[in-house]
Amino acid sequence: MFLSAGIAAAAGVLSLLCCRRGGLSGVVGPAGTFLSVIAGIVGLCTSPPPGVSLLFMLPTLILAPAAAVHSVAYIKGHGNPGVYWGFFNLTVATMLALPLIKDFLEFLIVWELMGIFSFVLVMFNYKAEELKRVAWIYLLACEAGGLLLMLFYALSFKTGAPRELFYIAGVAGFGLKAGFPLLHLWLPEAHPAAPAPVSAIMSGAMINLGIFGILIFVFPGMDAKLCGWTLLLLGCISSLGGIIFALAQDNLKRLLAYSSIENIGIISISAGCAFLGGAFNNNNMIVFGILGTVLHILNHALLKGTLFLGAGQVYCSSGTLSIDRMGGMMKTTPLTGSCFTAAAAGLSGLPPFNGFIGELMIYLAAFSGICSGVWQLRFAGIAAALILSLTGACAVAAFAKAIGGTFLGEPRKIADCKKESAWMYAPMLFLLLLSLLVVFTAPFTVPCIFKAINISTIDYAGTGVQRILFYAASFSAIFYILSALILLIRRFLLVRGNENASGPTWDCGYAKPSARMEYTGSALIQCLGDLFNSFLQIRRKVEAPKGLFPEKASFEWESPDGAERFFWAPVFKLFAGISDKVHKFQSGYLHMYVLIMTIVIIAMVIWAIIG
Amino acid sequence: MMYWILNLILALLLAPVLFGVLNKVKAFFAGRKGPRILQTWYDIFKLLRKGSVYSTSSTWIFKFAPVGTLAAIAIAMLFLPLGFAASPLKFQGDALLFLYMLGLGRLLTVLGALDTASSFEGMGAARELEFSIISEGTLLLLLIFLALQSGSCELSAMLCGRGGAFWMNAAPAMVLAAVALYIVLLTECCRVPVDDPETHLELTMIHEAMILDNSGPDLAFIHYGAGLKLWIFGAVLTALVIPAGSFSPWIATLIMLAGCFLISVFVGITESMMARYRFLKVPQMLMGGCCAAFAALALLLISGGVK
Repeated sequence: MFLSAGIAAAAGVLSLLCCRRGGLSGVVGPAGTFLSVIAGIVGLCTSPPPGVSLLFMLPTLILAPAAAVHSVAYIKGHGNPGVYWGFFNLTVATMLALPLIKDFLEFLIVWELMGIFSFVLVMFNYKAEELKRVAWIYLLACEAGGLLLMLFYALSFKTGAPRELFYIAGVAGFGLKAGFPLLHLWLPEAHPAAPAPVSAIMSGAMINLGIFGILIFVFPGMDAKLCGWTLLLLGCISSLGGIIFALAQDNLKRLLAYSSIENIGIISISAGCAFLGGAFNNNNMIVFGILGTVLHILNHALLKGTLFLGAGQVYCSSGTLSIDRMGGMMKTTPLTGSCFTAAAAGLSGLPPFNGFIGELMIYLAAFSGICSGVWQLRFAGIAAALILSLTGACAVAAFAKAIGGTFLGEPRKIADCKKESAWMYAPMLFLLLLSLLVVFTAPFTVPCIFKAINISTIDYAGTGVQRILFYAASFSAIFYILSALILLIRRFLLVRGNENASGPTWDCGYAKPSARMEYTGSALIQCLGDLFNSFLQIRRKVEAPKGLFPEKASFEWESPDGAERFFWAPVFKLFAGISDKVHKFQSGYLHMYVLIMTIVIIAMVIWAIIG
Repeated sequence: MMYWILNLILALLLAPVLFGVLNKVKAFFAGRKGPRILQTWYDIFKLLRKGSVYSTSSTWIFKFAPVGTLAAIAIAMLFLPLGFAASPLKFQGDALLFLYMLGLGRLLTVLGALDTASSFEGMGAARELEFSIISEGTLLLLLIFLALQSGSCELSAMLCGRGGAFWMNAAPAMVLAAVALYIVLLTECCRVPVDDPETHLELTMIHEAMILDNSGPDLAFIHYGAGLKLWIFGAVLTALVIPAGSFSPWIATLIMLAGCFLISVFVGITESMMARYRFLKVPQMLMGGCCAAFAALALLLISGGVK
């Protein structure tokens, strides 16, 4: 298994070495990625790693080749391909290696390497001005996470150290990567700035590794109740908070980044249900919780990968990521638009796609809790189900905005939209195909999943989960069949001699409806923005028309991150204030420094004598 | 199972007639004669014979939206215990598939509306998205309510497997749940006071604004889907309120039919008695429904009508 990581690393170094000759590294890079993925799959088949490692390797193995193919077209004219491919392969190598490492110190080293390699990828387009801030935030988040994990590691040796601190350090350290509430700050900054294929990998596969770390290194030996409640609480906040902020974003990739926060929340809710089920001996809850976690991790990787790759194509075609400026791109980039639409509907958890079966499992875990007699489980179940449904409904709205604003209607402010390239839509089609495969193979993979997880006390057969998944898959199929049937009926009716005209949109009698009258993405969710405004605190800038013949008027709104504005900014301001005060000691006079040192030495001597 | 299939056929045939009854009631209150009871069927047949006009702004999404919406609503119908007989297609968790199929229909309608680039349709879509979040939350609370009463996650068992004593055990909770469901029904089926399907001003519509550009067979599908949706919610409300199991199948079928028609009469009376709310006020009413569902849940947990 390590071989595949090794190949990726070697390919990375090789591409770095030939970064002077872009053409060569453009070949070595993707070839290396593919080789390492093939080695990884062969390794999986010959000597499968334990279940959890396998689960967290799969997204990387699927997304890496897709992103590599997409990158070939994406990075053309975007900087040095040698550097890109070098760090791309190195990142993939670390991501493949991480789930296999058993020793925490080694894990920590590779973890830090992953942070640094991906940092280079995030700031690949380093000439852009706004990237400086983003790069700083990302680096800070990585290093803060690393520091917390070092603290966690140190505490694990000290006997008698407070368990709470150990626990918090671990959860926060890994949570920084996973994007838990308050710690999610880097996600909405880094994703819009990073190249699209990199975002796809980071969002689909890398942030899951935070959950992996928590499950493998922090939770063993802890009380299952504590673990369950932590995950459930964090999950509820992240999922609902994430999607509400996603609603209000105008930048397409920022919207997707917030949606990643939401999905990590859903994964945590599911895992939390499984832990609580374990704590209270509720077999159904454990089985559905575990399946929900597994399926949602996979589904999120596939669908979010598709969405980010789609956003990459959109950016390459239109040159912007602002939803309100785009529109009508379904006509210039039809395949991208269709893939994006399907993936977005799937990620909102809607039925004929794979997102639904994952959410169905999580709902069933919650309902098992509700129907059990234990009041704690009942409470957990009600909270989980309610939050999931609200999140689902908000996700529908957010993605309706993303699809509608970007692809549907008429183009607003994009002049010349380039055609889509096969390099970019082929990987999206591949990922969507896999998602379809997930829907229809899920009933058959259940025994494999539980065999891989290998906990003998779990009875998955008694819950009838295979039958449920089978039914869910059948109804997906029935939906396709029924739609096809109705389409055929319509075709028959329309062919039968009736005129089938086309004309401009009937806009209630307006003779010349223009694209300016069209509803933008922001307009679409304005009502919702008002509904959630106490939470979002949207900034509005209004310039009302003045006078009898107003010359100009404008309206802007933006919704900066709540945690940044109301938590981190005050915290950092406080620390900046303190450092300003301390700064006075650094006066620049030598005798001042000597005085301070003398005082310190005297104080230490006194302390030594008394102590 | 035969009864269920019979009831399904009845539902598929009679669903558009609900609008006929509803309009007759409204006409009665207005002192008019009103359109015929079967008018919606006539409209559907007329539309099926016509051609469609597709806007040059629209893409395949607009053409697929009515079709997919109808398919989604029809599939949602398959899980209902029509005529109080358990659906033969039931499985644990079909209640969620039911909820999400309705959600899929909504997303498709919204996308179809946005695809036309019309500002009115965008307006309708925006309102639909806002209201749907609250009504979906309410519906889920009601599902939890039913799951607690029945100890199951199958829609058939949730509605018909609760024994007959739930009114005795938790009457106040039942009343609140029924009120909440009625508000959800008014929202999901786009009736006054949430939405006014018969206004002549596009600015004040929600659902009708979203389908302004649909014509011909597409519009027929949409009308038929709206009828099915009204039947779905009518059936759920009937089954929520009336304890099943104590009747013979034929009487149960009759009760279900009577329930659906009675509810459409009731909707007609509601529409005649009140005007549409301002759009800023609608979320407050929906929140009221959500709170009613919450209160029902709390009362049920306290009073112990839990299986």
